[in-house]
Amino acid sequence: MKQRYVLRVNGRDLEAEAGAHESLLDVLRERLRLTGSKKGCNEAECGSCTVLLDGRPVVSCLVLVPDAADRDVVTIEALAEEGVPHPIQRQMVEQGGVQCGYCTPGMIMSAYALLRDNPDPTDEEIRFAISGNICRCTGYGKIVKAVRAAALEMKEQSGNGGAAS
Amino acid sequence: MRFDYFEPTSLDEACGLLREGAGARKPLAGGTDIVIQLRRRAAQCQGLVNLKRIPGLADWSCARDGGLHIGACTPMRDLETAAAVAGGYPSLFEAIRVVGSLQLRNIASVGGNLCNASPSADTAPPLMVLGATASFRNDDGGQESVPVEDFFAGPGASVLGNAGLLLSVDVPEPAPHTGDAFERFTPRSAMDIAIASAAARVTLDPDRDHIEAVRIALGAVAPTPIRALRAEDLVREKEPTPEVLQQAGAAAMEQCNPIDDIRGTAAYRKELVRILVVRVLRRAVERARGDGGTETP
Repeated sequence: MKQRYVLRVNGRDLEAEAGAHESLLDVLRERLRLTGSKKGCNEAECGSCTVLLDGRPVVSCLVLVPDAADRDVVTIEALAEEGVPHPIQRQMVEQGGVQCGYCTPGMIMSAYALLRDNPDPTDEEIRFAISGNICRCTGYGKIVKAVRAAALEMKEQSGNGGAAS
Repeated sequence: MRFDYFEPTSLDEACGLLREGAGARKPLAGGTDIVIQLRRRAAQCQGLVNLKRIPGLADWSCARDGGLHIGACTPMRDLETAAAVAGGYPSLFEAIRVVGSLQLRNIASVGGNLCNASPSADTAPPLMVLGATASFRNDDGGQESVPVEDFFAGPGASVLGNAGLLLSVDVPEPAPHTGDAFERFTPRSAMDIAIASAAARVTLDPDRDHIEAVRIALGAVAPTPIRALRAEDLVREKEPTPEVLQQAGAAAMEQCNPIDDIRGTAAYRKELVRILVVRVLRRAVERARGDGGTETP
């Protein structure tokens, strides 16, 4: 039996008709046509479906849609502003952190949550933050480099001149 | 995968829904086990009863002299990011930190980890050595508490019946000169399930020479997480010399009862137990002496 759910996605209230058994990921992709979040394993192993739920990175494949109703969902679609890619997105491209691209949206959402909470992470902290995002192409080195470069860029953008706090 | 979905807002309502289901409805906390099991058709149920809208079930608190109170639906990540947990209950912190991924731990609950009752449940060995109790509503709606080590009945089975509900896990404040540690072995450093795991807690005498009290628990090497009682007997009242710790490891190895499966052979698991028990005892003793810090393996 389908029901009407209101999801607050990327700051907008969106309505979706869905069954309670459907995942947030399926509703985002199939019903709301937000196909940036990817479906890899559908079992919380790969992290390609990572979105923020009330600000926390979660695997949206395991969140049932009624559990996401009336909560804040942020997907990869929200990161670029007026067509300008987010620093993490641009650095992923520039540093060669994107190959096939399937893991990239989830990887970026994990990195986005990390840099929000920890603007100056160590490589170890970056690796820990993305340890639930599996990439079979890059070997991770360039992804870590991209997140590091994005952190630097965001610090410079924020107007602190990159000075250590 | 279709099912009825319920969102009760009180415990009575939740227990009523489960009782009406007579085994065909299951409680839903984080869903990180049950949703996968339903999708794989490894579990069958006609209804899920979401517990997360019941006030208080996802609350936790850590009070000085009051121990650690963990509401059954508390996301693991809430505890992982709390300095009071990492500092006061490092074995639990170390176990939580290796469960699935960060994105999973933002959903997965400690209560669910226990109720799923996997022999390899990572939070079980630390909660057992920390002397935690599980409080629950039984099938008849009465409230009961059992030590976590008595909570499990077999692979996938606990003391909860069809209509039972875990409410909270409570960990007492550790005694002075006490330290604890957890280790598990997995081939990968993230996103893996334990081949074997061990936790230990030791309390030293005021001179910090001898072990006064000790608990050792093992995961993934028996039908349920188990205490290694004979190993405990071998180190109690002893000085924690390398030889004594080795004897404990050997005793734990003899006591466990692992199976061969895709993750490892029984013989390999036994060998891991021997090594892991020595390591967790050594680190627990270091922490009890106050020179072990809260490093992660």
